[in-house]
Amino acid sequence: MKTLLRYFSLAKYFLKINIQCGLEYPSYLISWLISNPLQFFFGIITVKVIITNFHALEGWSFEQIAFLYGLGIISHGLSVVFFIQTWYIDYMITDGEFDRLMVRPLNVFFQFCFKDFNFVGITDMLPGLVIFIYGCIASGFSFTVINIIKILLVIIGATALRGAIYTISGSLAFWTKRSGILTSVYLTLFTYTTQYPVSIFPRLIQDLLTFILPLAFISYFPSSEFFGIDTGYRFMGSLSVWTFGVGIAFYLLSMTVFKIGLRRYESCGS
Amino acid sequence: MEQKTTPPVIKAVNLSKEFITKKKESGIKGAVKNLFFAKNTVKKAVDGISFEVQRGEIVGFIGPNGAGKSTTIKMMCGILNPSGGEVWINGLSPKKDRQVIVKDLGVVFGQRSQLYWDLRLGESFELLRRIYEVDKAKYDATMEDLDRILNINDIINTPVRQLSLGQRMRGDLAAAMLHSPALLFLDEPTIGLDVEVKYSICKFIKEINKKYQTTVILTTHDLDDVQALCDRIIIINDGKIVSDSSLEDIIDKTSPERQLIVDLYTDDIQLEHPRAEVVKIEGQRVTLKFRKTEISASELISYISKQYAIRDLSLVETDIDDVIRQIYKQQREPVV
Ligand SMILES: Nc1ncnc2c1ncn2[C@@H]1O[C@H](COP(=O)(O)OP(=O)(O)OP(=O)(O)O)[C@@H](O)[C@H]1O
Ligand SMILES: [Mg+2]
Repeated sequence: MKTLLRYFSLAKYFLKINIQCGLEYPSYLISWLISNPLQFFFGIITVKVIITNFHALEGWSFEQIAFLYGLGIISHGLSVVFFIQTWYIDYMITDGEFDRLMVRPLNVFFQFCFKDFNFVGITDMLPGLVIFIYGCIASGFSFTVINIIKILLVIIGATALRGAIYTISGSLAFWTKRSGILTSVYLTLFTYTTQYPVSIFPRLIQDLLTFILPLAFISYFPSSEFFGIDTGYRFMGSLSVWTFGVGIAFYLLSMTVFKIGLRRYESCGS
Repeated sequence: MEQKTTPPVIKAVNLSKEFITKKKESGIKGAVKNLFFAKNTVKKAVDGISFEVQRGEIVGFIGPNGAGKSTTIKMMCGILNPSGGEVWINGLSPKKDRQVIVKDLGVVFGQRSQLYWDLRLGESFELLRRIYEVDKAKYDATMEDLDRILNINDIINTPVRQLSLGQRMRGDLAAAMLHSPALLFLDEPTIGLDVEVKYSICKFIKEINKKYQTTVILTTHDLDDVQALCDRIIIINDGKIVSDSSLEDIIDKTSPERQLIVDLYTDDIQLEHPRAEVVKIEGQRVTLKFRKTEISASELISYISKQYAIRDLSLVETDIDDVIRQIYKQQREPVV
């Protein structure tokens, strides 16, 4: 209990100094504030163009896709805020950063998690939030308590799932010393699978995105539940709870992979 | 009365570390070959070393590049697990109880700063103060002490990335001492520093050692530091300890030559001694070579002064760099 409190207050302090550091470069922050939202607004405009020209996309209306698209970007934004350090594990290894973390009397994974809060990532999240709220209103989404709880579960689960995938692929650097290339592959993959309905892909790929690398849970499945759209997959219980569960399970898995990687580091060094 | 023996701060028994690296061949043909049959080669970075360090000692680890000094330090602070043998810090194994051990440990790697790059130095300190749970009053007292020797207050509001090498090193040393650890590992703490900073760092190490009985393990390539600081020197070469004694003992053992230069009033010099060698005679100046173990300087001087009036003289001590170089060399070409 005492340790928990200690870790909690340290986490708060890490957060504070990270924000402080971020504020030291205001111009950097502003340029992101402009360029990042633009990228996502262009994305949704493209969807609009496609839909007005080809009518509904696999049974999804534009408003519903806006909901899905916005929901996907929110968890993307949050994952960029909380998990950006996972993109640089290879760099941290060659730079000896882990040596630094290991000589501190704190859990290494904790220090790793709280090392960086990239709160500039909020600029990724804001357009998502705007598009999402538009989608909610335009598609007639009802803001009941149950639905709001479900949305929160989805956002937490989806963020954890993204973070877990980053952590696992980043941890590969403990073996290969290199993982930077993978990150951009994942980012592209995430874009295509969380900003459009997964049903546009062939069935085999849908299966992969459901059972192997369950990216369909990030925004596609939960959105389909809210709108009562048939995905062709049957799950027991609420899909929002599934997203939460899958996210947490993957996150625990990623912690294990990180731990094994660190053990490998202890025997090989930087 | 029974004598109370304090356990050693560090005890290493047969400590070893092997690194497995892939042997890579060059060229296109080599690259293809590497892809399929990269040969593993085993590098014994540390090869069965044993030693003990008692509380309050300042021990210098010296040895040529790649000897295994940094690897040994990393094993002692739990960054690397030994591949053989064991090491205990205050009776605990860094592998199992790393978090307990590092609480009372300060580490400085001269090559890599331990400070947080984007923070001001003071913020780095504040963060460390919280991590190590040092209470504010104790912290302020320690800072005052550190400032006196290292002039920390001049740089406390500068972001770490803007500090010069010497300033950063001062910051690093202060950061390592914030929680008043009983044990300090310094891996090349004086690398690339000017004489002034080097002097203040040596002074700092000496003072904390005296004042708090801090045990210090330090590696360096600068033998002046070693001479100024270390009661004991462990020479490592090729992963093995080749010598473990005080600097005087090393000098006595290798018994290197000293030189005596004497200026006389005449240039008609005929000098001979069975235990000293006349190297050269230039005008009124004669240079003699002798070994400490065979004849003392004073004996030699009085011998000369019996034959000639001495105008001036100087004694050239052995260059310790030479002594150490000789030891490194002996190891590479073992005497048959
Ligand atoms: N992570 C690693 N993987 C493979 N080999 C390594 C690794 N770290 C060190 N070595 C090898 O182990 C040997 C000892 O290295 P170490 O860094 O301990 O030397 P050192 O005595 O500190 O040298 P220096 O004076 O140059 O700092 C070297 O041959 C080095 O190449
Ligand atoms: Mg070294």
